Amino acid sequence: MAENIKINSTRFGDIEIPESKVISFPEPIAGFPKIREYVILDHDGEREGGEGLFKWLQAVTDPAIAFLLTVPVLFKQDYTLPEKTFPMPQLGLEKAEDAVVMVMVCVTKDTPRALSLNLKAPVVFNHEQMLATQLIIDSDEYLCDFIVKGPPDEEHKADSAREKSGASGHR
Amino acid sequence: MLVLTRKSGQGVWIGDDVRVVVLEVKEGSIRLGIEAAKETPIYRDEVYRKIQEQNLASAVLPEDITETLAGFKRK
Repeated sequence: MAENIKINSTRFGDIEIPESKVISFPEPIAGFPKIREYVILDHDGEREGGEGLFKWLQAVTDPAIAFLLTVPVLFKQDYTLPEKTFPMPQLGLEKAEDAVVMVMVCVTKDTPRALSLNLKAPVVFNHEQMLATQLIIDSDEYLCDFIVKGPPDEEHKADSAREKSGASGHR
Repeated sequence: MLVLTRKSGQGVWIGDDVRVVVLEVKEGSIRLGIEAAKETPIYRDEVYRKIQEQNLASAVLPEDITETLAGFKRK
């Protein structure tokens, strides 16, 4: 028998969600030690025509805390987790193919503001068991503030143009 | 903060599952060995703090983020 829980969200107001949709974090997200449960809410795709590029990770017990997530390969084609990441026993994940990997979206402090992705600390989900953790990749190759210049398709065109001209862009 | 003095080769247990050992002492730096289950997160201080900072910034996105995102559509 599915039970609904009520969540209050600063961004979305009062929401009712099936308890089965709650995602547990065995290790809390860094900086938010008291929050262990979140739900995924769709970004309002229809209104912005976003069609599911972005999702919100909303804290169940803290209305003001919600992280914007997106799929990293849409913005950086070659993004993968380091080889030694799997298996992830803390999430019950055997191999990379079993995991859903998303990254947090942030805004830069410059003007005009740009979007940045935290590629250094992706959120890894075990969709079947509704478990997740933020994996911190201790390698300089992974940026915590990877600037996103434009929509996914334009990003890829810009990349190949840059490669052909031999220029090294700000990555 | 618990402060202990260890010499090269000496270790410290943290709970039942984590052991820290001083492997080598050089001038200006030491090499630490950490024995723990694979699922135990272990991060260099500055990296962890950087991620904390970034997470805190990410948790308070501006209200007009929806407008900023409006330019991003799956084609």
